[in-house]
Amino acid sequence: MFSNLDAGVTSISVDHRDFGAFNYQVTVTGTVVDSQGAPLPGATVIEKGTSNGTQSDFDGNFSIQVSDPNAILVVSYIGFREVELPLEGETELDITLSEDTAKLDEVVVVGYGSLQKKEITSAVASVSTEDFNQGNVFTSEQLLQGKVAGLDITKAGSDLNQPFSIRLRGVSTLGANSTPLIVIDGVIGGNLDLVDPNDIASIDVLKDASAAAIYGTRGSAGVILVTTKKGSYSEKATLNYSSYVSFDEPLNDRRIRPATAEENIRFGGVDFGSNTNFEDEILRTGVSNVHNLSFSRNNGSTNYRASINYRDIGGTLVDQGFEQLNARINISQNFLDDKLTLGSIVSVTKREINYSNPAALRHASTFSPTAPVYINDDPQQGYFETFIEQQYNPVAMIKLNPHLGVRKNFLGNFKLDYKPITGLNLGMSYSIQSTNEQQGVYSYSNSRAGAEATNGRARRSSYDQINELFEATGTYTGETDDWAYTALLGYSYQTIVDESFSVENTDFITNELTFNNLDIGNGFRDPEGVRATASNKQESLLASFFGRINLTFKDNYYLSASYRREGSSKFGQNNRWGNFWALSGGAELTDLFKIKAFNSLKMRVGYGVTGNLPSQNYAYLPTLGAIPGQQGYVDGSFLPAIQPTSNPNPDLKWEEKGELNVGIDFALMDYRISGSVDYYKRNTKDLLNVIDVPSPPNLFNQSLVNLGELESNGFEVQINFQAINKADFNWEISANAARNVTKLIKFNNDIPEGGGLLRGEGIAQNGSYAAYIQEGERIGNIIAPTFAGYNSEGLPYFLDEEGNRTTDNQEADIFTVQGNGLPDLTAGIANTFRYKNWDLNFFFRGAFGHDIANGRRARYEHAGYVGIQNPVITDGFTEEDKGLLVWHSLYVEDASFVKLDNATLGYTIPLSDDSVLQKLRLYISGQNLFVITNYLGSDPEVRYLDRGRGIGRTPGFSGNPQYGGDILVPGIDRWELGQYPNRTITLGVNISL
Amino acid sequence: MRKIKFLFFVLAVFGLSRSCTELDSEVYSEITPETFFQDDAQLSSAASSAYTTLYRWWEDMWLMDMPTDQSAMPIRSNRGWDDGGRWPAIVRHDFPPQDDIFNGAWSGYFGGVSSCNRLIEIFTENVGSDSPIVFELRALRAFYYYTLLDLFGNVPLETSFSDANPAPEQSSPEEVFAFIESELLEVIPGLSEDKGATYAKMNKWVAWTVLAKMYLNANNYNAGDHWVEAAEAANNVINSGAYQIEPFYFSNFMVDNEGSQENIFVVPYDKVNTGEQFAIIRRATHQSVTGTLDYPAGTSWGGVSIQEDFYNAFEENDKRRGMFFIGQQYTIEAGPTWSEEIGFFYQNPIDEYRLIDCSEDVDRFVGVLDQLPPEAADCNVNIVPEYWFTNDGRTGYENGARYAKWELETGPENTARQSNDYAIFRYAHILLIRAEALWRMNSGSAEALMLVNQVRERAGVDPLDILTEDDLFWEFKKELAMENHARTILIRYDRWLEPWFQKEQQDSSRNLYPIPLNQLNANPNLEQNPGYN
Repeated sequence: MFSNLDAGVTSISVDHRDFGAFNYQVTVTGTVVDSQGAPLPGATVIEKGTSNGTQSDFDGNFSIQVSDPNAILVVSYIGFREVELPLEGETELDITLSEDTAKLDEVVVVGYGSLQKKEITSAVASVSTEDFNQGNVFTSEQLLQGKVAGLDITKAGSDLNQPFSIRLRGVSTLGANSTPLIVIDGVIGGNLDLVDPNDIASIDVLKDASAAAIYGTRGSAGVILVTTKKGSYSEKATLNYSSYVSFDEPLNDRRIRPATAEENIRFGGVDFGSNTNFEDEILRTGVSNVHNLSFSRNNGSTNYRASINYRDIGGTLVDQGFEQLNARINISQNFLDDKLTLGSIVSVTKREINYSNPAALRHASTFSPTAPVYINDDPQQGYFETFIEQQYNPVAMIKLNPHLGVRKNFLGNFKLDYKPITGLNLGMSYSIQSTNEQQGVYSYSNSRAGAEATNGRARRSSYDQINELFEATGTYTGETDDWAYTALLGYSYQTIVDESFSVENTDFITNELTFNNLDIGNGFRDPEGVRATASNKQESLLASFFGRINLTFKDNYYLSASYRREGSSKFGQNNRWGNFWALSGGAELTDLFKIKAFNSLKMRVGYGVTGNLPSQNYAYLPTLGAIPGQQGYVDGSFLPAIQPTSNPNPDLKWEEKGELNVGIDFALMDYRISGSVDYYKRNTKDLLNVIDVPSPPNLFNQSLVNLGELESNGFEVQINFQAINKADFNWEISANAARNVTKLIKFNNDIPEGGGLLRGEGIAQNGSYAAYIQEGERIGNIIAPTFAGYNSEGLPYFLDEEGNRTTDNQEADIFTVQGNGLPDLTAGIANTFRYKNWDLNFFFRGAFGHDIANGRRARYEHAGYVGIQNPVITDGFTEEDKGLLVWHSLYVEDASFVKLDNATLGYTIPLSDDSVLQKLRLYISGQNLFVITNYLGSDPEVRYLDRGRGIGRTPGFSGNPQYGGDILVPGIDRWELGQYPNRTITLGVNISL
Repeated sequence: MRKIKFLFFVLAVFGLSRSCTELDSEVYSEITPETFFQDDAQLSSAASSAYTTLYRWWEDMWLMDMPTDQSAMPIRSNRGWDDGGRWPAIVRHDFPPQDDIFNGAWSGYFGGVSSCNRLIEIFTENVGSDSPIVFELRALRAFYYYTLLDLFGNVPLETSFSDANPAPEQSSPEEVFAFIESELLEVIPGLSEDKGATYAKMNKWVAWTVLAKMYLNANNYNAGDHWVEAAEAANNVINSGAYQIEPFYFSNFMVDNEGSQENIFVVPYDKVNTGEQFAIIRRATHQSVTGTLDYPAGTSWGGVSIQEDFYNAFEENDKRRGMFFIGQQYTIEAGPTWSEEIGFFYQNPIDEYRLIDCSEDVDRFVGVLDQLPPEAADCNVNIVPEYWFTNDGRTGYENGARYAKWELETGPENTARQSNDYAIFRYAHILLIRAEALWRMNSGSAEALMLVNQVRERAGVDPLDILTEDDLFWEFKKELAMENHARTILIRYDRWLEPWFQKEQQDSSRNLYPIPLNQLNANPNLEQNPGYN
């Protein structure tokens, strides 16, 4: 080396290497940007092999002095793939980082803390803003639909006021909560209504028990952790505005067609002299307007983000929609040299809902199309009615039965974090979440539906819930040469108080005031008047102690153990406390086995025990009350007969689920392909369930008990592939698939062998059953008599046990399993393209192998019943059929489907440097653009639960729903619900400054 | 350190204001037994709950009256209330053990039994086992057991609530019979004799009536002849002087029938307080009531009607025929009225008020209009339920007389509720029980003849000179029609298994109903009744 110098070489540039050992400095400057050219502030730039490094500034610019013009720079940024860049003499660099789809450094929220993705040892999925569904997304769960393997978020039909059903890894309980626990910014049991989808930064899903056990009691159905947006570190404040307008239309090719007036008459219907398509009369294009405005600032000490969100959502059913205003402030401030952080979140939502009358949908297909909307087509003369039993003019059903509601939610959250010494964080939080919903329904005196013979009927109801949570945690993080560890200890106490109140009055002298002045009605004054009142207040308490240890060895081996001891007021003294725990470990195998083909190959194994609570608060306690319609008669007058209202079960205890999860996370082809595969096996014991009990000795023939055993297993695959990753063209594919099979191992010791339970009553009419639950069998079996053609009179033949044809379907033993309501496989695949300033995303979602009991066809697709109801006509319709309201195998249909769930095209308008705008993006988005399926019903979406028969009859009161339906009876398309899917087109703009 | 102290202070204020493991939740809107049973009003309220089971009495017409030779439930023209052929199947004595009507009755009356067991324990503790209320509850429990015995035969006997067997075994009918008998005989001396104070409650005479009916039907329960006991029990009621035959039959079935001197034990239906549990209009009236009685369209499901033979069994001058809707129906202008003497009639049935628009019903026949007789479109209710059938077994609304036995209000606000008190037992029934018991012992009994003629006289039919089994049978049937005794009478006269209407001859297993499937599933110690496996 020295010889050259001795040789008198004057230019150091002649041979850079020779001078490497000297403290000689080369200044290299550059800019770090992402693949779309946006600067990346805070990116780390390090000279390889040294501790010499710097960070990029707010504009992505950096400057570093290196010792060697041929040095190698290592540039990294969270969420992006690290690059190593040999300088080769260059001193000015434009560095483009591409997103790291494997996201090994990404921070994943795991409940009471977070881990880097590579440290995760259980089944956790994380979805952040850029992966969220776009379009007219007005509830937070829609953001995730189809994005996480094993997480099914579904809703048949398009009633925007109906909640989605959320299922993680199928069914794990019979009678307890089957919806994942929602935790929003640490608030357990958070209400998604309180979070505008626009304010969500990321959603993490704890899928298996080893992840969820830290939430012990309510983790059995999985946990969904929602993190809202905060101010991001920036020199100046940012302002974001986004807006869209959406147009919803019924997906016409999926609507079940009612017979036309001409057909109705041909089938023998009464001709009322008109020709009306009642579906067209009550369906419309729903228009929605949404505006979101947020501003934020984070200077490292003060961090705030404030947002206001306005949504005016119009449904496709006339009058249906809601108008919502939500405001949210996330704020935190550091004190004492950043050792103390105080934070607060306040969120307020008001939603004014018009429920319309969804029951009108089924009447729209069954009400005679020969009827006019108005008597003599003259609105002044009122709505035309046919006066056929239980058939009502659908337009009148909506217009004469207004059903409105106001939902008000409030969240106040106060947080304190104190770091007395390095590595130790003491945290404390208190939150109060309040939910209030008031509803009102009025049935006009001239309405046949709802008001019959009551001369106007008004109902009001109010439901309130206050959820208070106090938590204290201590976390200590430390490391030695080989080990890194985090230990957590915590305490949590939660109270939930529910109150409800309802009043019904009738006999109104005027319809003008609808339900706004109940005293105008005479129902309470008239001794024989129709009236009702009810009120209820309940409380439940939860206390818990928990801890967790995470260990990392040599950055390649990971171990996690957690424990939660939790007590609930819902059980008797001796059964209150339950212990829930989990153990999981992971190992990065690429180093260990020198696997070259993979950039990362991590194996995970975990086992955990989680619990589940009953919905009933006092089921263990013998309590007394009055039963409606069961007044006591004493000395010639009536009084409430105080008596037990249910069978108490003092032995009620926790439902426990054990789950084993084995998974592999991998990345290969220079991280272009990454993904994970999980297999799980879960077993739930002491299932909480309402079962038949003998009478005597019981007062009632059903009790809530711990009984039976469920077992399920399944796998999940999630893969990301960066097909093309060029500076101005980028194509990314993200796919997931999941399979779950749930078996009922044991239901009731006392059921005779081969016995089972008939469920899903009323599929075609009273007493027809569509579901059969039997020990050792899969959940979700659909039963029906086997159809074997029509006889000469057009009545269906069924096969009896010997295989002979019979027309008698009363014999229960000719019912056989015809299908299963749960899918064999669910899958989603998203493609994202970026070309210069354009971005295009389309997302297909499908479910395969599930069947649906098509109650609408069984009930309505009969020309012979035209005297009562107008038939519906699908491709399965035949005039040969003279059967009526009949249930058989013809109506159990394969409902596998693929949907183009979402397609979005966006354009980011290039802005000059001096523009006041930071970003301006326009997009057009389509949801549910088409459906490919053989299902003859309107919506082949999986029905994860059965909402039963009562629904859709009269405008209902929500009160406190018991998890929305029967999860043992999936796959039923009820005739009571005239569901049809929507197609939505959205035009939107995003602006940042 | 001060900061940490501050932290723990805050923690203490927030977290420990309620003990940190407090799990006794407040019970706000439900009553806990510890705080109840404090005063007489609360005790009466609690005691009254034992009777609420009775509100299902009308519902159990499906078991006690519908499957008999007097009722029919043909499938109507529009199949509106066909329920997959479930009701015609019941009429054919096709009794599937999974049908709700069986489990409803079983768990309903056993719910009553358990309710009595529970209250007997509470009152025994509060006021002692020798108190009138305990005797009353024991008598009521015996009545519930009698109802269960009559329907299901082999039922478990359970008299404890707190120490009840979780899976009790069945007793034989004769054991249940013996239990009811001894129980009633034991409590009768302690029961009230004040019928006014015990309206719709168990008193001494109700208890004797239950015994009288059970003794008369003792052979139905394999308990052998109990004619002497039946006659005696009935005589105790007669001799009490507490009850008498009302001059007019329909006085017992009016809306305001509380004053009936004949009704011994009633279900105090009330349209405000007892819910939609006496829904006779919905089930058993003719569709034309919407015009006749000013009901909303669609009120009547029109299903339950009368078999032709039963209607024809009434003599023409029998005033009890006023219990039927029959013939031409008129609008409300014709003045539809119930009279205590003759039941339902039109005050002014002139042609102008004829109901002529029952064609809507006919219009609903699809593709079979050519099979209809011309009169199918009028509003003339005929007595033949199967007057004509279409090929697929449907018949018109106008076919089959309907029950008008209980007074119906015109233009009511809610057509599924009635305020008529429903007599489970009437004094006329007691007279017939004594008559039959005496006649069984001596077919020439003068007293028996006198008692039957007493009932016939009120009905306006000629007295009999001699009494045959047929006379007795038909007198029971006509007098107690639709009062939920018909099945028991048929079994007693060995006519329950005979073919009639759409029903074929059956074997004796049909004398009992099946043990409900839900109960068999829930209690492994139960055995299905013979013939239902």
